[in-house]
Formats: sequence, C-alpha cells, structure tokens
Amino acid sequence: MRAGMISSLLVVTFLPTLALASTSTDEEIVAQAEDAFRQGVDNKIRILQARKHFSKATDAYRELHRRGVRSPALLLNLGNAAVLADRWPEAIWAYHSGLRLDPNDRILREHLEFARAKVLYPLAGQGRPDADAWPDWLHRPTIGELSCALGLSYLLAWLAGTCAFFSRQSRLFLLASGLVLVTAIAGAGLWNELRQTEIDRRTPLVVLAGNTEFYRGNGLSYPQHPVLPVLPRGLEARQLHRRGAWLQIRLTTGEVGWVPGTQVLVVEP
Amino acid sequence: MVYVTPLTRRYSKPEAQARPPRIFWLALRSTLGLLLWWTTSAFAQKTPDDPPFPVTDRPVDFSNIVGKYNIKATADPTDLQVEQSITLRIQIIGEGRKEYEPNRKHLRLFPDSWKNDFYVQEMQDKHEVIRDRKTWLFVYRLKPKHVKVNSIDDIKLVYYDPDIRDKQKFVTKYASSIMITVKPKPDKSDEVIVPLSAAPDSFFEYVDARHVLARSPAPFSVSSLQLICLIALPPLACLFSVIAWRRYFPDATQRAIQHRAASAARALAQLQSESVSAWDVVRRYLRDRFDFPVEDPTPSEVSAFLKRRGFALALCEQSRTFLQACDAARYASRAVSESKQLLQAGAGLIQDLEADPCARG
Repeated sequence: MRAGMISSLLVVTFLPTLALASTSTDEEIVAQAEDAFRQGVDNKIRILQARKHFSKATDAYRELHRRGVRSPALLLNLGNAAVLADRWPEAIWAYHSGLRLDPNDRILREHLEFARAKVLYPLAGQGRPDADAWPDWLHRPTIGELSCALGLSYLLAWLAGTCAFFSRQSRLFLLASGLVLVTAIAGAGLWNELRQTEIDRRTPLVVLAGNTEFYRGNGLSYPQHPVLPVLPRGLEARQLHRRGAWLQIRLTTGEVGWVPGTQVLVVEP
Repeated sequence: MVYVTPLTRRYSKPEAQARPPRIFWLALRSTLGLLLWWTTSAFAQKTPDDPPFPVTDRPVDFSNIVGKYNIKATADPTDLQVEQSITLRIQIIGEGRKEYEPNRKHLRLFPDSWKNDFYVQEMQDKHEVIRDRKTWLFVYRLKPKHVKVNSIDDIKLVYYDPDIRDKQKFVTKYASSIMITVKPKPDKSDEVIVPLSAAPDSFFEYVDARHVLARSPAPFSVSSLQLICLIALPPLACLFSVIAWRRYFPDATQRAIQHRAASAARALAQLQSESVSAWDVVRRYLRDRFDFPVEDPTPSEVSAFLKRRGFALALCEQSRTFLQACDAARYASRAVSESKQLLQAGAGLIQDLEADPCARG
C-alpha cells in the first residue's frame, strides 16, 4: 500500500520529465525550450504569463542538462530562463556550472552577480560570497591552457638551454632563463587550478533551492543553528559531508550545519 | 451630652465659657441629616437611561433593542464568483421603546464564522428607516472568500422583549437562509500587465540550439605515465641532439681524436694490399697515432720513442727489428715473398701496439 503510494507519487512528480524524456530528442527539447522562451519574451509585460513560459523553458533546459548535455550556452539559457521565472537559485546554480565549463564567459559572470543580488542575506552578512579578486580584464587560464603553456615553455626552455650550451651566447642564456620563469609561473598556476579542482571535488559548491532550516545535526530533532535558524534561498555554501538525505554544509563565513539534501542544488565539480 | 458637659467644663478654659445656645446644635444636626438623606436618595434613584433589561447575563449578540421585532434578509446576486459583491438587505420590522430601537452601532447580526467566509462592508449611506412601516433597513456588501460558501445564513437578531411572561426575556430571531452559488474566479493572470523590467535586456536573449547542443570538449587530463614522459622527453631529446650534433658535426679536436683512433684501422687496411711499402704505412701510423714527428726515422729512434711513451720493451724491440728489416728491404732489393712477410710483420706490430694499454693513453 505504502509502496504503491510512493510509486504513484513519484510518477506524478516526474511525469512531465518522463514525458519529455520518453518522447523527445535533444533537438526537439531545445526547440520546445526556445519556443517557450520566445513566448516569455513576447509576453514580458505580463509578468505571470511570462513567468509560466520562462519556467517551462527552464524545465526543458534542465531536462537537457539531465541528459548529459554540457555547454556554456545551455547553462546560460537555463540561467536566464530561471531568473525570469523567478527561480533564481537555479539560475545561480546554472551560472556556476557554466563558469566551470568556460570561466572566461563574461556574460555568465555578470548574470551570476545579478542573480546573487536577489539573495536576502542575513543582516550580519553570514554566507555572503567572497568578492572575486581576479581582475575582469584579465584572462582566466584553464587547466588545459596552463598545461599547454607549461609544456611548451618547458620544452622551449630545454631547447634554449641546449642552444645556449652549444653557442655560449648570452642572449640564448637570457631566453632560457625567461622560459624557465614562464615555466615556473605556469606550473604555479596549474598547481593552483588543480588544487581548486580538488577542493571543488571534495567539497562541492551547493546552492540552496529554497528557504531552508539550518540544523545542528542531520535530523529534524536536532536544534536549529542559534544564529542562523533559517538560510535564505540562493545562498551558496560548501558541502562537507553527506549522510543519508542530509548534507553538512559550511557557509563562506564558517558556520557549519545540516540541511536536507532535497533543498540544495549541487554544482558539478 | 451627659458626658460632654462635664468634660467641657473640666478642660475648657475660663475665657471660653460663652458658648452657642443648645438650639443651634439641634438645627445644625437636623440640617446635616437632611442633606445626607437627600444626597443618598438622589444617587440611589434610577436615571432615565437605565436599561430596562438586566445588564448581567445578556446574550453576546444582543443588539440593544427592546420591543417586538422581526428580521428579513434578501441578497442580490446569488450566482457569482469569488470576491464578487453581494448586496445584502436586512429589514428589521417591529416596534418597541424609542430609545432602544434598532441602531447600526449596536447591531450584532452576523456570526463570527463569517470572518472565514465573507468580506463584510457596511453601506451606511444606504441604511434607511421607514417609520410608517415600522421598518429599519440595513444594507451590507458581502464578498465570498471561497467557492465553498453556498448560503448566507445565521443572520440573527437578539432583542429584549419585556412583555414576555417567561423568565428569559431575550429573544433570538433568525433570517431565513439565502442560497448562493459561488464560482471560482477566472484565471486572468494572462491579462495582468506588470512588466518584467527588473532584469537587463541581456536576460531576454538566448543562444540558439546549435551552440546549446555543442558538447564542450572533455576536460584536459594527463595520466601519470604521460606526465612522466612529457617531463623526461625534452631533456632526453636535448641529450640525444647534443650527442648527434657532436657525432655528425665534430670540432677540430674531435676530428683529430677520430682521425687518430682510425689510424690503426686505416693502416691495417693499407697493409692488406701488396702494392704499399710496409715501412711507409707503419711510419704514417706512428705519425697519425702517436704524433711521431720524424719523417724518415731510424729503428733506434722509433724504439726510443715508443720506450718514452711507456710501451713494453718487447714491443720496442719488435719495432726495432721490424724497421731494421724494412731498411734492409728498402736499401737492398729482395724477393716479393720477403715483402709479404714484412707486410704481415707490420700488421702484427700495429695490432700489438694497439693492444698495449699505452696506446690508449
């Protein structure tokens, strides 16, 4: 009886997704999403109707993501649709995911800041994300780019060193020294990126999908956090552990507690 | 008085002997008594505003009406949507004490449960008193809150009837129930015009399907073996290139060393042909191999040179013997077979010299 109820509930919950999944190809889902997005834009002076369309577009883009499509363009569209559907926690999650794929996408970064501005942070500022220290104008090297730069500069440094050894020319020695320096910088950058990747893998970024009660333990019987009993939707945190359906998270300002796993969106490392 | 007089007399001073007459005290006391009686009786008397009904134990919904009354209610429309207006007209008909006639301020017509079902608004400007028909008309605007409301009922009038012989003189009369039909509001959200102006224009743009479905390249990854190879490859390549360069483009010193190292092989190859002079081949060998500078050396000079280089005495003697034989062959013509022996002896001498460790020094 109970199992039947649960299965029927699951069917009802995921029926739209199942319908999308079973009958449509990726191209058809994209077409549906674009159609809904266009209708939302056409009705943007009617807020409720527009939100319905944008919400539909959000669902379609999320279905594509569920199917394994990973592209910055998909995640940008998903984020935009989610913002306009007033589902901005999903937008924050989508923009973060998109920036993992392309950290130099300026639009994704700007839209992330816009979506973050909608989060109602506690007055004392707990959980507010740290400011990005990297200058906007400076290219953010990816692991691939850093690896290529490191490999190339390493090879050239050896070649220049060998040539300098043969020719005994000071210019070649200088060139070899410069290349060694470039190699060292690229190596340090690559090490930092790999460390950040490891941090993202061990403690993935999570975004709260709704206003969530913040407990001291992994259960409703535990007391709520004395300072932050409820976390606002859209708040970003790091997942420390998972136990059953509960996640232990740490806010950017250091507060640690537990939230239900159903209330968070995990950004893929 | 019996006690006052002696006390007064006992403690009063002699100059206070002139006191008022006794009749004055009697008049004063009488006046005060009358004044007290009048005051208490005046306050104890009922005022004209006193209600004719008991103040205690009256019903909660009592409308402060005294007399005989009846209540009727009509509503229009009765088929409507949620939060649409119904005009409710309530007629109170009857008569009673003038100061306790129906008054909107004191009416308690509607039950508390209406708070969950209706928004109630009194329309004071439409209230009406029709004296000739002994009718008081009160008008209200009702708005049903939800579709589960299906009637307007429980409108009641609680008044006080002093003429009833019962002990309980508070009377409750209900208006007849009015059936209504409440339908849900039509979804007009599509018609609500509120612009989504909060988001910048860039949010209303989307990237087309071609880019959306373009799979991003797999993340860059290098295995440990590949990493080791990549790290080791440049130094090894440089090392091999150095070796190759030196091999194919040797400098003068290298070339000299190579030439010197190859002199033995060269000499042995020349000695294989019978047309050469063994003495000449050995002389050139000594020059190329050991920098022996003499152009036309004597056997003693060669033996002494080799001795200085540290070769074994037997080798020195062997070279002396060989060169003496060469000299003999050079200056006294011999048979061809003797020349072959010289060639073989020369080859043997070169091999022996090469075998000696001093040759490599």
